[in-house]
Amino acid sequence: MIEDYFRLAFKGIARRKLRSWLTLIGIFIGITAVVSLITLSQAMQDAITGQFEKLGSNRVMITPGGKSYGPTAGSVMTAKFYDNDVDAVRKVKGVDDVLAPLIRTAQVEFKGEIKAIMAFAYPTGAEFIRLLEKNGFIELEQGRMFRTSDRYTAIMGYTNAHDDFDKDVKSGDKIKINGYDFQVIGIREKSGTFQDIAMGIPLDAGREIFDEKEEVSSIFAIIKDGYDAGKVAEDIKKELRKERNVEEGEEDFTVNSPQALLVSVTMINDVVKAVLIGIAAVSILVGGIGIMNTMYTSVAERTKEIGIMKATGARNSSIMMLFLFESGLLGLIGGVFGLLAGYGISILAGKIAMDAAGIEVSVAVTWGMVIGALAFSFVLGALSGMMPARKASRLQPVEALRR
Amino acid sequence: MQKKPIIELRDVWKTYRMEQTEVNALRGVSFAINEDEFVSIQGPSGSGKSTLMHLVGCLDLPTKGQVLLDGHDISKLKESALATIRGKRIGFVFQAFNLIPTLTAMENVMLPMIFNNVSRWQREKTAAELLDDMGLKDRMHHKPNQMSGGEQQRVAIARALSNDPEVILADEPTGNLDSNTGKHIMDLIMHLSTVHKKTIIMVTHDPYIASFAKKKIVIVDGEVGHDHEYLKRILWKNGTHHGGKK
Repeated sequence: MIEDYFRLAFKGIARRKLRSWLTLIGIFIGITAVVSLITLSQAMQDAITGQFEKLGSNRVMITPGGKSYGPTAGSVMTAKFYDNDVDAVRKVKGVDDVLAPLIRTAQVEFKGEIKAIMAFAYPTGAEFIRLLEKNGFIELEQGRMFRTSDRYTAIMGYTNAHDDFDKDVKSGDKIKINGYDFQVIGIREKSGTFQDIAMGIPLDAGREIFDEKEEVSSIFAIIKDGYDAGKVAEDIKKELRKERNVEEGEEDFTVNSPQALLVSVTMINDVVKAVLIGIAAVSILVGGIGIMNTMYTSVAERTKEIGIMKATGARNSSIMMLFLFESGLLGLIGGVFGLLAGYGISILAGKIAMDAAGIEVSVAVTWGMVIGALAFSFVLGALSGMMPARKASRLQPVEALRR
Repeated sequence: MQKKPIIELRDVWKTYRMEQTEVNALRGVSFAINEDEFVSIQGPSGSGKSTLMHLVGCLDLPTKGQVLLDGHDISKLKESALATIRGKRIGFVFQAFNLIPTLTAMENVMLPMIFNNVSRWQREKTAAELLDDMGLKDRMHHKPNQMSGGEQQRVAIARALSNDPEVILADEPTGNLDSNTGKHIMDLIMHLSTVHKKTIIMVTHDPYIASFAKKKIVIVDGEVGHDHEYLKRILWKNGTHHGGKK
């Protein structure tokens, strides 16, 4: 019987196509917002957790400037790190080793094409090369690692090599970095992190081409096994305060332990979520009112039909059910489109994040989400149609037939 | 052989309240309609015959008095029980056909069966048979606006028969049709009476159409009389002095 009511309800919607479509918009936007919000924030959370898994949770990243994170590419920050800061970090108990690259954005020319690429200039002493290998900073898809004798050589990120230029860059290719001739000696494996969009060059070469004699851009501290990264991060902070002579709370540097990063990213995620939930809630409310309005109009227009149905044996409950299905169906159709659009937006946003930051954001379509969103939109529609349906069901047959 | 009454009205009053005034649409109407009878309810407009039809059709309840269906008083029944009675035991045929415009002929005929929880298979079978009987085999999937008035009324008759009710209630069934088509519809209604043994109650103001019925109930000013002489007297009196207002 339910199937019959659905069919009748669908005919009710189909007869006023334009009005039904207009009514759907509110629910559509609401469900789109909810779906994209939930899938995106889940994908972001996964991506961030994934980043830490890939980068290793045994690392602490120290960047110049307060309250900021992420590799500092430009020279926006006024505070700078020098070798003495690196040494201070190295001295902290629990720090196994320290890697302090110079990071700059470089003009890279390949076969006449020029692109801006983030360059990490690493020390290429034997010890550091061992460190890079040991900690998996560089895993190669092709070519070889740095050697101590290397100078104008570069290891390119996966995206740099495969996507940035019209033609794929291969190891052995010649490129120009800031006008200097370089040879590509290796291509990194795809990692799904920012390392895909960054290239590595020897520190000496970096100091020369960027004309930067002493500064290091950030400090990666590798934590010894058995030490708590959060605790070591606190100790590094204390040591650097002493070294740089700043008070607690006024640090001109930021120590990002994986946990701290996770917390701050989660906080941003939460704020975005709250804003989107607000938008979604308003839109869903407006959508619900829209459905209610449409259903009231529908009841008024079809008073005579309601009378006919009652005369032919429809109980109040049958009429109620018919109109509830109709409004529920309106919600459901809005939900279907909202679900599609929501996933579309999420996938698109994931792609943009991938292109912009090299972060792999994979949007997962889950049955729970699909069923949840559809059930929610149907129930929302049905609830919005409750009062009009009640009105329809309570019409006196004689009164209704007289129309 | 004495037939038992299927519908009986006992001193039925229906009063409408309009702001300050009360209007008595029916004033103590009593009559009985037996099984298989073909009865016409006649009267000028405003006489109360529509109100009477609503009561007989279980669409409305009396203000005072009893409406008995098979000896059971329906005056105290709830709307859901009345709906069930309408669905199973009474088939309506209206002047304006009253088909649902978005549904095809077939779907219109199946509608009362949906409300009566008939299985889909059975519904389709019954509806197809009924439409075939009405000579509408090639009109089954047409919508009302694709059919002539006569065809629409035949769909409506098929719909009225869909749950195989004992009583067919026809309200001016030929009112919107030309006389030829009207005659054809009346033949169908006669057929329901004589062959299918349905109890037919037909409301009309047209004496020719009323003449198809075996028994006539005349209603004027909310009161009832059975014989032709009474009708003449009332109509004459009405025409000259009362103007037929209720």
